[in-house]
Amino acid sequence: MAKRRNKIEIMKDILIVIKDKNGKIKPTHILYKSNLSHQMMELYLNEMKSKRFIREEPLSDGKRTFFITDRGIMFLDQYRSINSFMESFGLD
Amino acid sequence: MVINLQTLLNLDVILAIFFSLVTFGVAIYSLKVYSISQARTAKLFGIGFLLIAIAYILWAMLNIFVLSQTLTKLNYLFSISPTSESFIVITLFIGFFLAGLSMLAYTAIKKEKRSLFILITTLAYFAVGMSRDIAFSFFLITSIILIFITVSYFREYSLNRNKTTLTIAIAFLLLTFSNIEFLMSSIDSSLYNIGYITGLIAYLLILISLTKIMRKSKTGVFNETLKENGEKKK
Repeated sequence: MAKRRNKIEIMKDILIVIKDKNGKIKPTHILYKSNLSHQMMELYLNEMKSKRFIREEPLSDGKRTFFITDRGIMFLDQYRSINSFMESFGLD
Repeated sequence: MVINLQTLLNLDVILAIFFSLVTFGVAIYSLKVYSISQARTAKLFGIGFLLIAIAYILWAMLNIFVLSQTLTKLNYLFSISPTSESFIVITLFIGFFLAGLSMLAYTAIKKEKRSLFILITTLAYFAVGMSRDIAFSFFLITSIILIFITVSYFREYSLNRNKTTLTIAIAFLLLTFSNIEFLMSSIDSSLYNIGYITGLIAYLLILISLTKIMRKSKTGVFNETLKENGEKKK
């Protein structure tokens, strides 16, 4: 059985999806790639916006687009140590 | 073997400084993790360890103070009546240590309720403060909190099967034993030294775990992804 992803891992997966799309993505793409329910995805996107890992911008057609921020890139770069620390000390 | 009183006090100071450095290291790393991840638990955990680090500095200061007293008066360590300065330092030590440990217990509960932290800390302060034997109740309360944290870590290990979590769980178990040995030292004074040795092993295990985690930080997630892709191509 596959190990259940923790919060930090899910945020990392979402950020990688955005990064792979040249730092800009629509929510439907995130939903498709991140393997989350719509409700959960919205929860994570809101949390990541509050943490300033991503920013949301409306397009001219009214659809939402998410961009990865410098802070989000820094999180990805330090992900291994963050996850290792959080998992080891039971903080996730 | 007869251990000189001054040697014992020197060892107390050295070990308290070592414990302070280890807990300070964990605190700084945890707060660094918080600054990048914005994870609330990392912030609370960092603050908890920082409070314990301050408590150990105070403990070292207290031992240095007692040491200077023995050098001049050549008195026995436990027969020195507490002066106002040492009493303040002891109170501050107990305050910081209980607050730090309560914070760690609160983090282990994994519930976002600030009132829960206030409840744990208030109960701990009252139980120690209202007691006739403050030292005994302090070690008793800290032992209970440490047992709770230890159980949480072993439960965490049963879920994630992470070897570092197991090492940390063992470290907290040893810290619990160390505390119980301090608690029992009023009956058998030799347990006081054993308590310090057990504590030293516990903090060494935490230091080893932290070093292991810090080594992992040298490779970012992208380096790892590139490596994985390279291996797949082969």
